[in-house]
Amino acid sequence: MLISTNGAADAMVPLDSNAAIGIAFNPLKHPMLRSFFASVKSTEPPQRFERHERILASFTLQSNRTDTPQKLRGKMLLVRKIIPYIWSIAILAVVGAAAWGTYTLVRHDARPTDATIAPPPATVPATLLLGHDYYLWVRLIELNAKRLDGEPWDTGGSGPDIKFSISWKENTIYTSDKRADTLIAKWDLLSADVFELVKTRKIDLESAIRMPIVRVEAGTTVRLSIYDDDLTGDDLAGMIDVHLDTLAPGVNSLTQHAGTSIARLEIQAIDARITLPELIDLVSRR
Amino acid sequence: MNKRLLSIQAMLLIAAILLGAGLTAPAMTIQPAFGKFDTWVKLLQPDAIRPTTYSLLGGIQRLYLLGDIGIATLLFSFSVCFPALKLALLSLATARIAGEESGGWALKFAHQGGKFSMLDVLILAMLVLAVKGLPGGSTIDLRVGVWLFAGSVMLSLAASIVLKGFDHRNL
Repeated sequence: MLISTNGAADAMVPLDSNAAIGIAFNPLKHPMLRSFFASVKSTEPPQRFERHERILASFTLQSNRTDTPQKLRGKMLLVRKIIPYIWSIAILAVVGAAAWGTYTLVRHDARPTDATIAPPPATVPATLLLGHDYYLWVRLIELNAKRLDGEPWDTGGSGPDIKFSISWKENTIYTSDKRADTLIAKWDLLSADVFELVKTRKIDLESAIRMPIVRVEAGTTVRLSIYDDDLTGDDLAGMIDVHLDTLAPGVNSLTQHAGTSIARLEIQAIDARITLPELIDLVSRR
Repeated sequence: MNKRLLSIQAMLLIAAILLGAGLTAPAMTIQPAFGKFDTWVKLLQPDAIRPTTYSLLGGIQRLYLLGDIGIATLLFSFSVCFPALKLALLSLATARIAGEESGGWALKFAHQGGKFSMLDVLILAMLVLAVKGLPGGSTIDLRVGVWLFAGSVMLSLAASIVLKGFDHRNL
């Protein structure tokens, strides 16, 4: 069977009988496609035409054999449009894969999550260890607005000048500096003597620790006496017996102070074996 | 595909690998120093004197976590998004030219945008310079990540120039 395409002599091609029964289909010999190629050939350069022909041939083999040339041409154009985007997506995928692969290999070297790294939690015992020495750091004392008898702290309405002392085994082992005209007083753990530092260019850290050291034993208590320092004599604001074996390492907030003028009290017990860097860190987080 | 275009695609592929690796490989190591106080700092704050290594991506993440969202966004855009996008566009343009079309907007954008590609390297160079000016002798050592990143940028620039010439000849 012969089919004419645009009347050109060289376009007279026999129809492959296999096409009719769908076996070993060769799209290039299909009469409808030949007419399509002929129309393309007239508008595009030969190089481009051959390319179209190749693409269409490979594509037709995978497509529905009932597709019309218009449909095939649409599909071909779609493929031509899509291929560059597939390339660009592949490049992005390569960037991602290379980044992930490198990160997996060197994650112990580069430390992108430094900012979120927390120090490993130290195992902290629930209570102070018996037989161990501890510094008792009275961090904060808050007094009520008035004395227990309802009178103001100082004449003229100024606040109390707070100071405290600590007794252990019936010996006064520490007396603090006073904090003037305040209801809330805080103390630092370390206090350097600047004059001594300048004079000797040395600092004795043990003497710079301005808190008493006590040993924790079963049933041991320390007595904390808090005063309003006055010229005419100190007014006792409250006296508390602190049971050392009930304290926990770290900051202890003691709030129940019946029969005293103490509103709030914070005591921190620090193991005396603390390293110097840990001590400095502790002080810097006051 | 034309052999030359194929070699451009190969260049882009290598540049993509270098970019990915350069973003997450160690890029710089900061070695803090405190001059004559080194011993004291080692004693009191050993963490402060420990060398820290960052990758480009890790550095950006750290900036973000520390609250410098503006600079982190800027660096992320120009150091991560932009180079990756540029490679993708160059690849797209190469495939288009191979299909006997013009590189079009993709090639134009990638070629013009090449000027911004070295921003990250520039920032690192400025950082090195700034740290050298600090008292105490702190140093920043540039590591393989920077060279991988710079290699990727150079390759993509070369590919862009070659492709641009190819595009002009084809049109």
